[in-house]
Amino acid sequence: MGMIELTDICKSYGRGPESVQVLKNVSLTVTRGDFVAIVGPSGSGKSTLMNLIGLLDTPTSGTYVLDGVATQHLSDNQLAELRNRKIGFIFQQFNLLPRLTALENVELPLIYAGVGKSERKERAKRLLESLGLGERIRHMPNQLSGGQQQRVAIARALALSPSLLLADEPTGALDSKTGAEVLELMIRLNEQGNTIVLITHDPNIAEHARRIVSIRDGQIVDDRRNAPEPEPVAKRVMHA
Amino acid sequence: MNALELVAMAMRAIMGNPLRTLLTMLGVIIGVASVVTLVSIGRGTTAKIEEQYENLGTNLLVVNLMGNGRATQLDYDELMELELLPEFEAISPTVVRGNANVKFEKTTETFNVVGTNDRYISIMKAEIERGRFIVPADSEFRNTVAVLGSEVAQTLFGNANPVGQQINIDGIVFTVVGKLKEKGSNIGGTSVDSSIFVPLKTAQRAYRLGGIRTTYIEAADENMVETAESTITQFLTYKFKSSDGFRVLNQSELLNARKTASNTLTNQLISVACISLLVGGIGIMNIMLVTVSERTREIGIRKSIGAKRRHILTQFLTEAVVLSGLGGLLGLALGIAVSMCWPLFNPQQTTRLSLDIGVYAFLFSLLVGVVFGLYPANKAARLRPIDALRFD
Repeated sequence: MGMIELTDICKSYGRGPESVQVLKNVSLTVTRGDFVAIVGPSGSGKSTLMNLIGLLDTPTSGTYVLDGVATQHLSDNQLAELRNRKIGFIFQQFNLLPRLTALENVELPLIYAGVGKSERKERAKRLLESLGLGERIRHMPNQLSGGQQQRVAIARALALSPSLLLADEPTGALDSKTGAEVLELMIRLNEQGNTIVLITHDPNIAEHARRIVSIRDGQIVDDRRNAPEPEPVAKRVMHA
Repeated sequence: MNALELVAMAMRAIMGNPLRTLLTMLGVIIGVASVVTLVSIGRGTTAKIEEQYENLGTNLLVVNLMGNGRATQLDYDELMELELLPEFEAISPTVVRGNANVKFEKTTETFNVVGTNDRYISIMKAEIERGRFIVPADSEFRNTVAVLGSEVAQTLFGNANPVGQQINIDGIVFTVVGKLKEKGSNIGGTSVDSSIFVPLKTAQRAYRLGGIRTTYIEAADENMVETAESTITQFLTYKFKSSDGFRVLNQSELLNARKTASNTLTNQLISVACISLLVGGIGIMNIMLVTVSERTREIGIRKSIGAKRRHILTQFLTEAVVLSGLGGLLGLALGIAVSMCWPLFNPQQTTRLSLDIGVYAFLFSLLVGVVFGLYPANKAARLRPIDALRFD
């Protein structure tokens, strides 16, 4: 059973004759422990696909099973809980809350999961330390460099040891050197057993993934492997 | 996240823009401050009225004769016979010479001179400080003796003992036989403290004052007030063959009427202040709506990492309630300060602060926050994560 099972996914915006179909019968299965890059030019439908995989949006038709949970008929609150527990988002613009410190940003998903104060501080601190940000836990996002901000965002994504890391152009706002560092970090996270889906328009970045899925005009046009499918291993979390 | 953390988080969000926060709270601050101030002024006024009421006793009737001429003359001895009836405790008829020139050595001052009998002092609940009050014999022999109110004594004699001194009242020499203790409150414009008391018949003859104008009557007890009132009314109606020409004022009814009037005014003012609170709530709602649209992206981020509707709802509702509650506390402080300073600028008025109204005003401001924060918070909670994240 795959971590992600998308079957005949269609997504269109608007109704009637003027509706625009963005995704056309997309089916995709992502294995546990895999590192999949979804590449495509802008307007190809890759962002829509990422929103659907991230449970931020719902498909017009088709089914989506995430880590064994059918998501079709879930309520807003159930979707929120799934996002909280199973998905770690990494955004192009980092999306840290500007008025919270690095530590508080990492704590946020733990707060929504109902983790107690002392435990959540401890976990957030350990995560930041493991990502080399131990000295910066009290800094506000605007006191950190782009690379540091993205590492805080990655720590936040990892806070609840999610089943899936979903990265949307994670290096898009970074210079090439820090971009490469972040990419290396993601490769390392994958080696440690995390399932990663990375969305990018840049084929060079996609090359670092084990599997590359190309999308164009709302359909998968190419699907190839760079590295063998991972052995089914027990998922490990980074700081374990 | 517990309530304390929620409030701390809301405080941080609110303090991000202190000026806006202050302006937003202003409506609630003014509303709560006015309610607290108005209630304390209202209660102070009521307390003052009650104090006067107690000072006068609950059993006092005042009879005023308004007509002129023989038909409405009242004979002293005839009036005093009524005292034998069980419903009457004491009767004190008076005649007044207003603004008499009173002279002692080189000091001349104008005071009211009241001609009355020995009952007056007990009916008015006044007390002798030195010497004695008028006795029945004074009136009988038309003695030229005078008892001074505390203010009169202070003006003419300072702190010296006035008893035994001679004063000249409009050309007639009186011997001072007593001085009253300070009484403070006054009734019907006549202050005991600034009056001189002489025997009724002495005053009538010396100043040609003629008939009795005002009579103070003390009923036997509280339950006898109405009986006494009807007896005296019947007596006067029979005597004057008409119910015109005199008025019987029941002091407790009069004071109740005054209290009611004062309370009505206070309540109306409080309603106006409550409108200000309501307007303050609308101001909070307005700013919360602005806040929600400014922070759409934040809401999107929070939702994407797992915030449920209730998390977002609680967050923004807490902000609204903290905003209005803080306004309520500041308003409370302002209201207390104004209430305490009020009598300094308005010496006639007293204020009475009470804890209950402060608590109510604060709770009401919290309620305003909940009511007016609910719509914006719900709007925030209902945002779809995808729309909120796309927002820039």
